[in-house]
Amino acid sequence: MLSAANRMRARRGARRCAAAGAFISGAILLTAAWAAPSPLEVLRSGASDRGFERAESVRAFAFPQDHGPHPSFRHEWWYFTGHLQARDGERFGFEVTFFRVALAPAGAETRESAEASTAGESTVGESVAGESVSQWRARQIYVAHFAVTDIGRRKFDSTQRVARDALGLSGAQSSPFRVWLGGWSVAAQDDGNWRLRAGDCAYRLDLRLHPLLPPVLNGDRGLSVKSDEPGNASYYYSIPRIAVEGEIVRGVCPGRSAEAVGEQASGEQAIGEQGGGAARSLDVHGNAWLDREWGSGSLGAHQAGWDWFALQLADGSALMFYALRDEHGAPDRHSAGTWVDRSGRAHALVSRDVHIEVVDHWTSPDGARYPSRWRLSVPSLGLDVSAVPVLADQELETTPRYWEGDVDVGGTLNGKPISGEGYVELVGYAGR
Amino acid sequence: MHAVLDEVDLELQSGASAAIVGRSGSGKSTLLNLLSGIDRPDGGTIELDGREIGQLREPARTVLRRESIGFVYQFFNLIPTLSVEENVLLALELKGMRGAQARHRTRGLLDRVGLGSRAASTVDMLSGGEQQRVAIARALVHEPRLVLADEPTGNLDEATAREIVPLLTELVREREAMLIVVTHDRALAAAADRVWELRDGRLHEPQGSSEGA
Amino acid sequence: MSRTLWAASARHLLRRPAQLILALIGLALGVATITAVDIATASANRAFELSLDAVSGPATNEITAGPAGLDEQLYISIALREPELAPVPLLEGYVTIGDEAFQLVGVDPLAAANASAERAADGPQAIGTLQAAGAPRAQQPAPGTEALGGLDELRRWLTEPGAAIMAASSARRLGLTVGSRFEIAAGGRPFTAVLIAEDASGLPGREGLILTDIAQAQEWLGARGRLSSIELRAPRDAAGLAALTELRAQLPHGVELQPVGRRSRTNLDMTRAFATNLHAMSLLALLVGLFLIYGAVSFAVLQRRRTFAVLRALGATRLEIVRLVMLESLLLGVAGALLGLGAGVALGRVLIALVSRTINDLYFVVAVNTVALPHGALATAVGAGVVTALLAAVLPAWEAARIEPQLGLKRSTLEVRAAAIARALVLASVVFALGSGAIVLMTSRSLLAGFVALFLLLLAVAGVTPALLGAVAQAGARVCRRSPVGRLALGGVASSLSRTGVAVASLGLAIAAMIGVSVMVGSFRDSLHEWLIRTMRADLYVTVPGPGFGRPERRIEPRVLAALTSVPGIAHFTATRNAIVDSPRGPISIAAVSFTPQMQTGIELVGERDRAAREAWEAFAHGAVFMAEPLAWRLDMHRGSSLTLETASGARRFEVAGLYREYGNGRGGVLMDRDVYRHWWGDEGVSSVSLSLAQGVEPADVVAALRRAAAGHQAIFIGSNADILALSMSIFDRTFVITRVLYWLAAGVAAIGLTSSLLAWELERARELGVLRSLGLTPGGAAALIEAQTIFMGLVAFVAAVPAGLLAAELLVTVINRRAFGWLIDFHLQGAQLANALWLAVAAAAAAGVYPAWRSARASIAAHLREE
Repeated sequence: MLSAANRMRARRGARRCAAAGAFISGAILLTAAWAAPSPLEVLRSGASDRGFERAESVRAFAFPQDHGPHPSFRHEWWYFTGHLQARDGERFGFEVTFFRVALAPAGAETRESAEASTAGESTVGESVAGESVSQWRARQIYVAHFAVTDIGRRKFDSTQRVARDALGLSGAQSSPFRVWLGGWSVAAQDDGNWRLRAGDCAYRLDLRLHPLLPPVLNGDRGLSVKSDEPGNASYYYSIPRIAVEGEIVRGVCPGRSAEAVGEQASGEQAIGEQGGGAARSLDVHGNAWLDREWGSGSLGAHQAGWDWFALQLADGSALMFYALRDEHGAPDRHSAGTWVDRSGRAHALVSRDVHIEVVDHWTSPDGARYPSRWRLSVPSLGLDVSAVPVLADQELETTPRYWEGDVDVGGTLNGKPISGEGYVELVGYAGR
Repeated sequence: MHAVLDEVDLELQSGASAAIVGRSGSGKSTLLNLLSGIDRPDGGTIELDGREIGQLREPARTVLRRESIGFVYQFFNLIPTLSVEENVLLALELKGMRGAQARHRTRGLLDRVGLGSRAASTVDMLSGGEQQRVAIARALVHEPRLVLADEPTGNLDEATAREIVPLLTELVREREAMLIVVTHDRALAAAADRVWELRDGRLHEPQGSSEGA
Repeated sequence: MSRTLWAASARHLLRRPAQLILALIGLALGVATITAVDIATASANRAFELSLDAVSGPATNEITAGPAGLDEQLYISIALREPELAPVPLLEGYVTIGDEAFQLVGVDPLAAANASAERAADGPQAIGTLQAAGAPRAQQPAPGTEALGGLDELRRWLTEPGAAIMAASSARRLGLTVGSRFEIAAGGRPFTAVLIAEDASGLPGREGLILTDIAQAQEWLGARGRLSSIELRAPRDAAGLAALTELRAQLPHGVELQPVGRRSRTNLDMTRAFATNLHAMSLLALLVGLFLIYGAVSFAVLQRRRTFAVLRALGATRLEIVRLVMLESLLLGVAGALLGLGAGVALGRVLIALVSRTINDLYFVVAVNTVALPHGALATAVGAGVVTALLAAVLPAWEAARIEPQLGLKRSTLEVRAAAIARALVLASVVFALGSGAIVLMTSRSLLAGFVALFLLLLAVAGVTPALLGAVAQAGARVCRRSPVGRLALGGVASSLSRTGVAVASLGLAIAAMIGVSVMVGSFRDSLHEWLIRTMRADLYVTVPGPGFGRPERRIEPRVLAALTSVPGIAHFTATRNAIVDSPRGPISIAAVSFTPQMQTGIELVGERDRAAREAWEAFAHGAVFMAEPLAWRLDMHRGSSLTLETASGARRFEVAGLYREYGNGRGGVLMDRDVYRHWWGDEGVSSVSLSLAQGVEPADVVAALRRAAAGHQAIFIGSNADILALSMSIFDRTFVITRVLYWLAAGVAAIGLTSSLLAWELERARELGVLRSLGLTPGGAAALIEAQTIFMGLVAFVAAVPAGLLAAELLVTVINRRAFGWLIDFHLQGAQLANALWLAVAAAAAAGVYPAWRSARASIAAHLREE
């Protein structure tokens, strides 16, 4: 069921690539032809998935191996969202995501260079294929997003980074589990916990993650079908409840204020290393959610965007649901989700199980109109809650932009009051 | 170096005219240059309306010229690139008068010398007599106190000269100006109130008609 | 001032348009030449700057190292540790497509994207910068209109072998479209590239660049694991400074962190002397233009002597007359300057091609395809034109003001005065010449002073010419006693010095400049030739073709090198590595040579006697360097100085064991033992090999064997010493094409001046001609008379110009070249140079006389006589 969300992520990954393309033009010299294209178009016209493995049937998941990368699939991501609280009660939301995007299937380079060498001087082709191949050659890139919602200060900060899978600039491995891009990483520690580190000039996180539940397989035993077209599916699991503790460091970005100069410089030092010791760091603890998804497929022809909800309720239960919509905004029947009850058991939800009512909207400074407050009800579960953004503006400054933010949850479960927290992702509203 | 002029005494009243005759090289032009403030005398005084000209320095002498003196030349010396009217107007403009008033005065004088209808012509198109009329108008348009004429008929045929001479003296008299003519032309000299002969650097009363024969 | 007075002026000038037009053309040509040179040099500089900007974008600092570049691991560690400095790795080199050289830039677009994201986090100001840089951050394409777009292009960029991007205009010129495959050569090694996208932005600076992924660039340039620079963007505040300082402290030895472009921009210094020469030549054209304006204005004054006298009598003050003349000239100057500006822009486009060709030959690759209009320089050119016109009018205006309010001077009086002026000018000339000598003696390094001395010398020639003309013409008239017409002709010249003097002076000036420049060029050429013959002792030279001096990618592949040197018939060989390394005094070219005893005869140490030379070579073998004369001059170093160079392990001082002659490179460089170079820079590359053949071996056979040895691996250039000689000389000749163009322009201006003066003169002596005609001189005779006079004047100009030209040449050779380039040239004079100058003088004079002669022949006797 979570496969749809996977899809969305897939799109998002593609978007990031598109963004990278756009930045090439800005930073170097390309042209209007390289202006950011719509990622939906990219996925829809399906930059070919030829040569990639496809998510077509149910598979056996094995952990911890499956936490690592699946390079035979075209795209894949590690998606952390969570809620942090400092000792003095200050609250933060965070998002750290890593996308892996393969630009060509493994072995493709060899084939193409063989072609190239026949076109040119064969001897030169040989020598290039030999010891003089550049270490920068890569067929995969990684894109990562970092966002912090500083609820007390009503600030939202986001940064995107991108790097090729070469020279250790970025990569992923399963044993021991580690995903990284530059200084941002999530890595298994000797004690079995994970350590998540990321940040920009404004905020830095250094968190220990301890999963409280085993992975929950979304959709049909982890196979998440996104449209009628075969292969338009992904493998999708979540860990809806992860205990978090660690620290958050508030920094100051260059040029923002003169007095913060020293702090910024020292903060910069902090990121690559342990990150501790900075005067402005706060010890925090909280609760996180991991979404993992990989596949090679594309979106359906008419799917335009989605709203994704990941709600963690106070009694230990959790709801994930993604609402796909078409270009007219109408719900898609492939929308789906998962209910994880207090005991950690998963129940698949389909489109008709969940009713979502948009209560309010928010218009971004750039004119995108997002839904901004919801009422979700799942009659079969006796669940009726509303989700309210902690801050209206949690739109990421990526190209194109999307909204992903911390929400407060409150309502009733089987008639009894219940509260909680969650993350909502809104894609396809901006930059179309 | 030798003195061209020596003890020249000459005095004129407003409205009066004087003719100065003499052989070539007798110093007639030098006298005119002195009178007009172009040259300065080595000694003696030249007064115009009580102002001592001889001791003025440049550019006061230039200012004096454009305020108080008019010139009529043998070879007319009109500016060839200017029209009849502009040639006359120029004298006024140099004095600082321009606009409708200057134009009006110029027109009036051109009518007076009989060239009102030729105002826009270029001076090349005019006959000698007509050119000299323009020159006369130019010499008088700014109402000078003194008009100096250097052989004004020297380049004209006799008939034309006979028209020009009365015109010049008449105009000068009307304006109560003074006229000094340097000439060989006895007819012209005769038209003046007084006639002097410049000889050996001095002015003499003419010595009878046999002198000029 | 009186409007009527103005009308009189304007009509006077317009009534003789030929005069006016010639003066305008003369001034305009002078201004045009200045403008064109400004535009050409500024365009070349601008193109260079733009190519830097196109590569570096909004970076503030860069990390660079010596010829071997940076280890890519340095980038990795900075990217991991200091992401907020937005590090971007670059690898640059030169490649060729066909015959055309391009700058290859290898970049990591993803690092650039991160840098942009960092920038975006900076707030509004930085976003402004970003947008200015052309990032389409805010614009989103309409759905469905975009191509597959970014992802697919990124896929091709990263995964398609040979993927490259170039400016749309370059692609069009090369006949490429997106998807085209094309051959590209880097350091002589051929590769196949594919155009995956075009840069259609049309932004200047993009032309001449080829972009590719950093991986591809490493492979093409044979620089696996290396980067040429890492660009950084540090905020311009204390924090940025602190971060940079900290980073700098952590950098390995031999790695520099400095403001972006500083290193590259020092390349521009190399072209400075070259640009100075061009500017000096253009000033010469303006100087000639000054004489022309002087001629026109003073003629306009002379013609109106009577008018001015009348005006003075009517009461115009001297000041008013001066103002009138100056204003006339000012208007003339403004009109001429504006005309010249227009013509200069057109001419500049022509010069750009010549200038950029020279720069590419001698300095660095730059694609000049946008015409820079340096506003300041253009304003200066216009200003120079106007000031010239005013200067030219000072004397005539003073003349006019001196006109007494009478009926005007007679000609003879005027000529008497002209003759007096001519005599005074001779005195002035002596002063100028002495001043010129004094400047040369009293300054030792200032190039500007050298040029001032040169101009004073030329002015001295101009000053002495009228007197010379008068004297020669009078003497000639006396000699020609038997021919009345001849006497008349020469006497006419002598008695019209006010007219003829100026014209002949300006022609003499141009001819002198021409002699000076051509003798200097000839001397230089001969010195270069001798030097090449002495230096090139080997029989064959093998090098890697390609643009750019000392580029690391111009390296003979090791296996090709091995194959080449094992070809039979080679007695011995010398391997050389050319590189450019940093020093505190700017980039220094190094030629690192495998030392052999044979080299001692090929390298001419300056001023070293046998024993000292032996000691110098001894020191050389032990790690000291030899320094080329030009570089020694520029750095003010001599034998025994020590030169600090940035080696791969930090700054190190090298003793200068001696200076050697060098004409091959205007900047000069240092010669070093290759073992020393390898030790300090860790660069094993070989740029060229010189081969000496065994006795009795046929060079052609060896060349064929060499070609076979390299075939399929690398394109190499094999030249015999004769080939190299011919090639060097042709590059040399190309370099001086511009110089030649400029002195032809100056001669053209002078000829126009002569024509103009003759026309004026002809008007003045119309009556004389009329009388002659009425006495029976035929129209042809009148024309011949005028032609004879002009040719005579041309000859006098030549006579005056020869000693001056030779002096100017001496000045150019021993002062200007020494000061501009630091090399000592032997003075060589060839008869052909003087013959050319003679021919130019006579031809210019004869041409200048054609129109006036034709007019005289055509004019009716009556018309001549009617003029007063």
